[in-house]
Amino acid sequence: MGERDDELGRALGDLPVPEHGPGFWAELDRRVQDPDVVPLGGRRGDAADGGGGGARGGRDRSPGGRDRQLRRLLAAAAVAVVAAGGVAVAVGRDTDDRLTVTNESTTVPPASEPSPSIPGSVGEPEELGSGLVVGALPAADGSTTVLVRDDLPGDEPGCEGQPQGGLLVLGPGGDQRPVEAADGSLVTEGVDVHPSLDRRRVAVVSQCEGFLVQVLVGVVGPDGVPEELRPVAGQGSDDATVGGAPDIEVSPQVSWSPDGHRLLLTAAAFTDDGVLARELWEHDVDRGTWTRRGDAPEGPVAAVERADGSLVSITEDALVIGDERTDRRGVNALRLGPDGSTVAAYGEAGVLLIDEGGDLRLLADGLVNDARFGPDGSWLVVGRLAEGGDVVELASVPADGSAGPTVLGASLFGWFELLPEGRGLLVTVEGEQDPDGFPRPSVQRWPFEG
Amino acid sequence: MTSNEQHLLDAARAGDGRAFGELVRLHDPTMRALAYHLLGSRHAMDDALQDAYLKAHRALPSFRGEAGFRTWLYGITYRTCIDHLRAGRRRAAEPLDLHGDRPAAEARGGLTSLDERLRLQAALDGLSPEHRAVVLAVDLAGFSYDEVAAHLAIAPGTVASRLSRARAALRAALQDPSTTTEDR
Repeated sequence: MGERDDELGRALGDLPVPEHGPGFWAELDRRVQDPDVVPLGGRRGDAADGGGGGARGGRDRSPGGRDRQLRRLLAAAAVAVVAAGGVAVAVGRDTDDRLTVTNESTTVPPASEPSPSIPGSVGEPEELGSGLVVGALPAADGSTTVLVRDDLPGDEPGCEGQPQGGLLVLGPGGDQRPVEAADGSLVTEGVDVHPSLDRRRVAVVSQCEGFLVQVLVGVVGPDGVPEELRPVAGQGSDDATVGGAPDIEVSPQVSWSPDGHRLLLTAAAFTDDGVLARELWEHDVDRGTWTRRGDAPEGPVAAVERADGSLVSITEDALVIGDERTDRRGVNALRLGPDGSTVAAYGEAGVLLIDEGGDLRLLADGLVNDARFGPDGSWLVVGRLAEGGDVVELASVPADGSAGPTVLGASLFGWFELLPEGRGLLVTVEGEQDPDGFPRPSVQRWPFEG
Repeated sequence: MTSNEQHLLDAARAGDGRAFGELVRLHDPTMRALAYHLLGSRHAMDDALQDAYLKAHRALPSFRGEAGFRTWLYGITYRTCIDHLRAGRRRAAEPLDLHGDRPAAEARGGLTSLDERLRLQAALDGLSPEHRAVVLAVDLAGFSYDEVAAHLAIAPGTVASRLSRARAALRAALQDPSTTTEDR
């Protein structure tokens, strides 16, 4: 399903596209030399188009196969939709096989102290190991376990012929340990981790090229590692649910009900006519049942349930708050705040905050690929594509809209986790090159200052 | 990326404006197709591409090369076109003479008839800009889902669903002369 449609591509290529108007290149050359000379949309010059040339020599920074590696990294970097919140604090090492985040660090206050105000800067980054960070789950001892997506050991082929990826615990010294499902199998492919608001339960969505492999649901174990993971949708789910799971083909957006007992999921599958039909379903984790949410708007792309039981949903053409359709477009994902009522909607139009009363507030513009609430909901950290750049800026922003975003740093991959208690970030950055010369994603801890 | 393109990129990053112009020209057909199909007129296309290319030039120092220049430029062009659409800067559509371009299409190995092209153009125009951008990126420009997801800042599942919907509309237009365009 993830292939280019060559026939359609050829047909689209047959559609005419005009050449530039006279003077286009000459004008661009002038503006490149002096951007203030010609106003935007100004009259085109009548000079002949300027030529190119003049290339100088330079080093070849492009090892063969770089695109393949890039695509894998971008696959992981595309969009992170992971929950925030939690309990513990700074980075340390336990006596077992894990790298943990504990409250014993000399650089991070103990967890018993009040949550910090909105972060304005970060301290010295600390390298933790390789992988794309997808989870920061609390352990019973107050530490935090770091979960990453990376290649699994062995030579098993994975998604689209790539090495098989999966979910791993990032341990001391960068060691990785695969996470196992309840049946002893590994959790494979492109994984996202979605903890419930209270961080007692966890859902793991596994996808390949945007299409669902499986949704697993389990609990957060005492060591902060997902346990008892059982498939509730996709591969292997037929025997794990009562009455069967909904038909899902496209990787869904998922969210937990505020009480953590039900998992909401946008089920999208193709009809016999090849049309993608979407419905909102919820899985009662305690009963193992699936129910279609009849109160959802038609064709939900994303949805969250608030503490009063009402839905906030996104469809192809509207943001729907309860029963009210707004004309807001350009958002494609939702994040439920820690109070269970406030919701952040984000996407190409920036980040909108929807308060308990349904009022909307634009917190940040730009292309936002993730938004996480701080522990008390008074601020968020957002990832947004920097203007013109190829990195994702991470910025804090107050939830009341009293100030604009404060840039904390930039991440190539745009994947981050907010540390429990909101005292720092786990950020995916470009790490060292592998033996083939390809850059590998790496996880850093950025402590908040002040 | 070819070595020549890499040399142009290095020179452009070193401040060689002419090298930047030549580099952009290598990818201009892809960007023109995107801008024209999103904005609907040559003038709007030119305005948007002037802005997009200038943004790219200004941002070149921050370009680290991981994304590939073509992918990076495509993302900038898409966002600039969307900004122009939101700012109401889209001008009245100026459809090209589909008849007159037939020889060019045939020269490229084009397979579609005039009727098919008319229906396809109408169906493409009937899609929302977001759906148009995804199907153009994947099926015309040949970007991977992951590249599209990263540079349009949407989830892979959203890429898949938008692509599915767009393809369904376009395929229907190619197969059934009576097919109407999809709602925006």
